[in-house]
Parts: sequence; C-alpha cells; structure tokens
Amino acid sequence: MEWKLELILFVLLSVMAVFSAIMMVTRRSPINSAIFLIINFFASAGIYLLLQAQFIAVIQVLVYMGAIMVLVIFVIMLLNLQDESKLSEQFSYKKLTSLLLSVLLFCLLGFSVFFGFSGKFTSISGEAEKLGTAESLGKELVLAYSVPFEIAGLLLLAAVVGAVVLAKKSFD
Amino acid sequence: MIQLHELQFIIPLITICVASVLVLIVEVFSRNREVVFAVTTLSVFVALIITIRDISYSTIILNNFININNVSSGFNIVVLLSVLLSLLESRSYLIKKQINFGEYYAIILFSLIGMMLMVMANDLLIVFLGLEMMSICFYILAGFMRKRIKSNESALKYFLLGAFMTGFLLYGITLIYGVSGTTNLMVLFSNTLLHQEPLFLIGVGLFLIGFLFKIGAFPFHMWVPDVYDGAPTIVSGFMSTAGKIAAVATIFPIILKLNILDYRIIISVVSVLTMMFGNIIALAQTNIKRLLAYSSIASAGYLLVGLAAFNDMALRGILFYTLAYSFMQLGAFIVVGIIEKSSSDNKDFSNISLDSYKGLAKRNPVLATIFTLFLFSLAGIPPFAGFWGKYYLFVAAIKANLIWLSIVAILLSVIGIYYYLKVIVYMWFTDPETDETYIMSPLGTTAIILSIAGTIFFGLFPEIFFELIRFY
Amino acid sequence: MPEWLIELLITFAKIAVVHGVLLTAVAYTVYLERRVSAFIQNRIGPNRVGPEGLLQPLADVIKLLMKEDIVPERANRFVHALAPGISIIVALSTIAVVPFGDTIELFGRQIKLQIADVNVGILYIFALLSLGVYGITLSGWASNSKYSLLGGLRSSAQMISYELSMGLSVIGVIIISGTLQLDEIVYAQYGWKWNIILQPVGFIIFLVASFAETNRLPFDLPEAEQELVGGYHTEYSSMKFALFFLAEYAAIIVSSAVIATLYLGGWQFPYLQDFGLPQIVTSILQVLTFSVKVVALVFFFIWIRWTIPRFRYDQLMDLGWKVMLPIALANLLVTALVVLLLK
Repeated sequence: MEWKLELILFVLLSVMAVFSAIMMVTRRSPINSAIFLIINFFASAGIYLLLQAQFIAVIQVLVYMGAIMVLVIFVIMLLNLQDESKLSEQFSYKKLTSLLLSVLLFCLLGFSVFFGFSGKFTSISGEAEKLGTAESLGKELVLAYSVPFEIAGLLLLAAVVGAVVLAKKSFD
Repeated sequence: MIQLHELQFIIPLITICVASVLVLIVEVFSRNREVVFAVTTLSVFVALIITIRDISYSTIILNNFININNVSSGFNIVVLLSVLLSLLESRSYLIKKQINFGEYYAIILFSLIGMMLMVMANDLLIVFLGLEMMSICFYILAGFMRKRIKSNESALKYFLLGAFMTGFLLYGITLIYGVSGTTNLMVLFSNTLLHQEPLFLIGVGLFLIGFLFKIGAFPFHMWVPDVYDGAPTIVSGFMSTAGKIAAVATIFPIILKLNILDYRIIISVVSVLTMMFGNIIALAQTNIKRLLAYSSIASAGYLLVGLAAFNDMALRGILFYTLAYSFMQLGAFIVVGIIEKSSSDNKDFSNISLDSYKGLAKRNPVLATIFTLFLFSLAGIPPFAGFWGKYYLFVAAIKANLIWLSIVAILLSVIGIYYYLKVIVYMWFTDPETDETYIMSPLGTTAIILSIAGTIFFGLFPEIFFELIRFY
Repeated sequence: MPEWLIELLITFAKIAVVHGVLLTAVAYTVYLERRVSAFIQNRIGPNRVGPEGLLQPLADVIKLLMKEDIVPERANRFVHALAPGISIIVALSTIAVVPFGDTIELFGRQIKLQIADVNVGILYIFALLSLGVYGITLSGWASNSKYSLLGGLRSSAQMISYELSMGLSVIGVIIISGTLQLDEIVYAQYGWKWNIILQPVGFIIFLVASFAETNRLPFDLPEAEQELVGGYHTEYSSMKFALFFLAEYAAIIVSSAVIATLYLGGWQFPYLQDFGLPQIVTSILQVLTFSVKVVALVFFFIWIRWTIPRFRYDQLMDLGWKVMLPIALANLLVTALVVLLLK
C-alpha cells in the first residue's frame, strides 16, 4: 500500500515538474515563466522528499525558491521586462535546425536512459533514509568531501568579488 | 582522512590561495597597487619554481580528489608560465586603460586556482568546480573594462553561452555518475566494462562538449572572436593561453585514458572543421584581435588532431604544443596590447585594425621584429617552437594511422600561413600612415623577452622540455 | 478504530486547535495593537463594541467581509488573487513545527504538543519564511500600480538581506544544541540554559531580523504610508486585503513563537519538572509559560512600533549588510570556537 502512495505522488510531482518546465519555456511574459519555474522547483523538492532526502528538499525550497527566484522576480520587476511578443516570430532555418537538434538529443538521451539502465543497479533505499538527514550529509561534507567543500567556498568568494567589481558604481 | 603531510604536494596551490586572499586584504586596507602586484607576481613565480622542483612527485592525495603526476605538473608549469607572462604585462596595460584595480589580480589568482585544480583533478567534482572557478573569473575579466560597451557585450555573451554549456557538462557528469555510481576518475578509467555502456558514452560525450566549448572547437567556437575582441587585450591573451591550456590539460588526458576509440572519428571530424573554420575565416579579418582569436580556434583544431591519435605520442605533442602556444600566442597579444591605444573618450580601443600595423617596421623596428617572430612561430615555420608543436601532433596522428587527418591538417595550416604573412607584409612592406610611438614598460619587455626566448629556445632544442619535466 | 486513523484524527485535532487559537489570537493582536498604541499616545482606543471594546475585532471582520472586492483594471487577475493566498498560507503553515508544550498524556495516549515534528524544523521555518516574500512581491507586481511595485521591490530586497543574518544567527543555536529539531532545541534549554543567555548577540540579531522579516516598524518600508500610500496592498480591498492583514499579524505571532522557542526556552519554565507536580499540571503550566512568552513578545513588537521611527531605505540596507551580517558571522565564529574548545 505504501509504495503505491509513493508512486502516485511521484507521478503527480513529475507531471507537475514536466508541465511547469514546458510552460516555463513557452510563456511569453517573463514573470509567468518565473512563476512556472518556481512551481518546477517545488515539484523537484517534492521528488527529493520522496527519495527521503529531506535536507536537500528543504534546501531546494530555501535556496532556489526562496532566494534565487526572488532575485529573478526582483530583476524582472526592476527592469520592467515586457512580453517577448515583440521578438520575431517568423520561421527561420536556424530555428528549425535547433529544434531538430534538440529533438535528436532528446531522443538519444531518452532512448539510452530507458534502455541503458537494465536493472543492474542495486537499490539503496535501505540506507536512503539515513543518508538524507542533515547529520549524515554534514559529516560527509566536512569529512569525505572537505576538499570540494573548501573549493566551493573559494569559488563563491571569487564570484562575490567579481560581482562587486562589475556592479560597483565607481572605483577610487 | 586528510593527512597533514599531504599538503606538501600542493604547496604551489596553497601559495596561490594564500596570495589571493592576501591581495584582497591589502586591497581593502591599503589600496597599494604596487604591493598587490608584487604579491601576485611573486606568488605565481614561487608556485612555478616549486612545481618545477617537485616535477617528479606522483601521488593521489586529499581523499583521492587530487592526482599529481608528471602530466599534471607539466601542464601546471605551462599554465603558471602563461599566467606569469600575462601578469608581467598586465600592470602597464591596466594603467594605460585606467582600470588598474586590485581586484584584477585577485581574480587572476582565483582563476589560476581553478585551472590548477582542474588540471590536477582526480574527480569529476573537482573538475567541475575548477572549471567553474576559472570560467566565472573569465566572465568577470572579459567585462573588466566596464565603460566599454564591447567589453560588456563580450562578458555577457561569454557568460550566457558558458552557463549554457556548463549545463551540458553537468548533465554529462550526472549521466556518468548515474551509470557508474562514482565520480572518481581512477575508478572510471579502470572499469573498462563501463566503457561499453551507451549511457556512459553519451555522458562522456556531453562532458566533452562542455570542454570543446571552453577550448573553442567547432561547432562551439562562435564566442571566441567576439569575446577576445571585446575583452581587454591582455585578458584575451590570458584567456586564450592559460584558460585554453588548462581546459586542454584537463579533458585531453581524461579522454586519452578512457581510450574509447569510438570517439576517434568524432574528434577527427571536429578537429578538421575547427581548423577549417579558424584558418579560412581568419583570412578575411581586418581586426588583429579577431585574427588572433581565429588563429586560436585553429590551434584548438591542431590540438584535437593530437587527441584523435589516442597514443603515447599524443600527450607529448599536446604538452609541447601548449608550451609553444603559450609563448607565441601570449607574446603576440602582448605586442597587440602595447600597440593598442585608447579612443579619445577613453571608452574604446583604437589601433587594433590591421591598418595600424602599416609600416610598423619603419616606426618601431624592434616591435615589428618581435611580432614577426611570434607570427612566424604561430604559422608553424621552423625553427620556432610552433613548428615543433605541430610536428609532434601530426606525427602522433600519423603513428596512429590517421594519415588523412595529418594531410588535411598540414594543408590547412599552410592556408593559415597566408594571414600571418599578411600582417608581416603590412608591417614591413607598406609605408606608415601615422608616426605614433609606443611605450614599452620594463616588466612588459621582460615578458616579451621571456616569450621570445621560449619560442626560439624550444624551437632549437625541443627535446629539452621533455627532459626538463621528465616526460619521455 | 485502526491505529493510523486515530493518529490522523489527533493530528487534525491539533491542527484545528492550533489554528483556531492562532486566528483568534490574530484578531485580538489587532485589538491589542490599537489599545496599546492608544495607551502609548495617551488616547483611549476602541472601547465601544462590547465591554472595553473587546468585540471590536468581530466588528472589523464583518466590515471587511462586507466591502466590495475591487481588482484594478489592468492587473493580472490570477496573480492578484494568488498573492494574499501565498501570504496567509505561509504564515499559518510555519506554526506547524513549533512545539507549544511537552508530551502530555491524555486518555492513556502520549500526545506531543507539536503538529509536525520535522527533523529539519529550523530549515522548514526558514524555507517557509523565504516563500513569504512571494506574497508581497507578486502582489506588488500584479496590482499594476507604482506604489505597489515599489513596495514589492523594497520588500524582496529587504527580506533577502535580513534572511542572511537571521540564518547565520540561528546557526549559533544549532551548534549549541546540535540539532535542527525544534523540540530537541527546547529540551536543550533545560533550567537556566536558555539560549538568550548562551547566545545574547544571536538573540538580538534574530530579533531585529524578525522585525525586518515581518515588515514591522522600524522596518516597514514596503508599506510606508507617507511615501507609498499602502505599499504592496494599496490596490487590495475586502477579503483579499483582510488576508494580508491577517497574514501580517499571524507572522508577528509566529515570529514571537519561533523566537520564544529558539531563545527563550520555548515551553520550559526553569526547573518546573523538578517541582514534583502532577504530570498534567506541569504540562498545562508549560503551555501557559509558552503563551506568556509569546504574548510578551507580541507586546514588545507593538511597543517598538510606537517607539522607534522608520529607517531610511539606505540605512536599512547598510544595517543589514554592513552591521548585522558581520556581527552574525563573528558571533558564529566565536560560538563555534567555544563549543569546540569545551568539547
């Protein structure tokens, strides 16, 4: 009974994710796109929750929905972006080519994802609950993955310095 | 667990990290650009010396995240060398453009950290973080001349495309991880069963696409001319040498060690198209920075010829070519930076069209001679280092029975000679239109002398390099 | 009845009780605010509806419900209606993880006085808090009015800025108690060891940031009357306006509850467990303790409103980024060092 509930939830959430992703790309008004992107993040947070990764799920909401998308909406509002309808609509070979290439890539990936995983991978659902908590994640992060963790810190420092350089009103 | 003694293997990296933070602190509290510059240059120099001293180290450290061997150290030396050369010229260039901010040096050091990490990476995580670190710094550096609209355009274009291509790279890593359950490169290399997995092949392909963008190979080369044209000249030189070399030094050994021969045909085709695009479109350029950008695209093509060989010679050739390339390409960019002037409102460049090189030999014979040498080397004319770089790459391809590829590559590089010669003809056989003079700073002169020395020395004695870094 | 059904019913009962109390409290917080402000300004305040004006909230609700619902002509109708919903949902959901008492025994069952015991409780609160911005920002955008837009912009900038120092100050508490679960944090504050004593700097930062997050004076820039008419809710009327109003006061109560839980020992009364009172009495006293703390904090919120003038916008940003953030970082560093050394 229980896995059935999970399955139903998973199907619901993934339909929501895919639908909102498609809507996000096709909307003309940037703010609508942003709202659909938020819904998309919400759906993926739900999927993380189904995978027993509570911490990641909450962080997904906190960082992506709560911080990044707020900034995105902030920028859209600040710049007062208009609808994209002014952009050209007419047919071009460039668009056709890119469409064909995307479909090709999608087929390639879809095909290999569906037929590539032939049940060779053992399930880790037993450990999943333990792995998803903040404790285990924190331990992994500062013990086993301390090097990438530190590097990510430096990366953020570099990005902050760069943002200040580019945005500062005037240098001395 | 990480042992303390493991840190002795990454002293160069630690030096750079400490220096980068130190530079920021000095910039905040004293704004003394001389100190900032000195700290930066000195740290890179020290890191270079230590890397050369420790060339024989071969170890996997820091929880299997970092792999130090003679290949990674060799590439690190080349990267450090090109950073050092561009730093030497940076100061006078930045003062000339009135953008001499301390943050520039910090960002250069941050990008250097990214490059070194990515070259030494033994894990896809580190590769990704290093690449991002380098790329983010490049986006910033490309837009460093904030008043110049083209510089902003270049930064934005580079950022948007780069972020998009990072998506490919990450998706590739995700697929690789999904199939193998690990991001550790050593495990991925040794697990040959994995190499037949279709999902793994696609993952590696997407991963490769991310890097082909960074090295500017066809069909992901569109950004190169625009970005190099818009960015400050010294930054273009820096990006086209250190950045490209670091990307090459990361992805090429990985592809070579994975040794998936299915990729050979793809890489060959890509390399031919890259060389074709670079060399043929360069013929029509009238802007010297765009011309060098196309020449840098062509160079990526030559490097891919070596990669397609998939044999022992390949890595040798790639390493030597990157060394030669860093000297000659950076040297050429430094000369362009010296000749370049600012427009009257100080918002744009002037003197970057080919016309401003007319009769340079009569106005400033020293500069003209130097530039000629670099162009000869770029064109692959013996006895300069550029010639040997191409030689090793093409020999590797021939050894791998890719005769057709080497013939095409040689033909295309012969086409390339034309546009280099065009510049040389402009300099030596036309009359000057202006009587502008150019100021060469002592440090910039040092950088040029070093580049010239490298180009000629390794042209005359190419084998010495391999003995120097114990790479046979 | 099967076990899971009973569990479900208990949970529903808890939700009903908590939200019933919360909504009533919201109504009377409005009353309290008006009376307290009147007292501070030497006025009388509402005293006509019912004894001492106690029925005033009821009258207000009826008035709001009767009003005409006006949507501006060129507004985005869907988002315009969605925004107050987001605000109120966020404000009401946050209370779910706040423990308002210890486990009590009723009808032979252990019942935890907390709706949901999430093991990342603090993060849950922050996640919801960060979603609260959408209500204000989207309402500002959807109204298609310059005052609303300015209010929305101000609030998103303000909330993002203050969320950082808020988060950083809470990490001190997390380090000390070693958990993200709110009930564990309350247990850790046994006796005198309230976090306000162990983390005084963190407490002040969290308190100030809470004011900013709830858009209360001195940080009420998003709805500064003198400049922005009504700010983000200028173009709202009737029940939609009431929802914003409700959400704002619910946010005050929830913030007070969170502050009480994190820093003032939650439902802990010092050494109450050792008095040897009957278990049920202890539990009730604990719930009362918690309520008193929350009410005191709510009163503090109102008191501040009528005491301190509003910041200028650049002062607000300077305070957030240049004062609070460094202090929060320093506090974090010192806390981590001390905890490491004492271990």
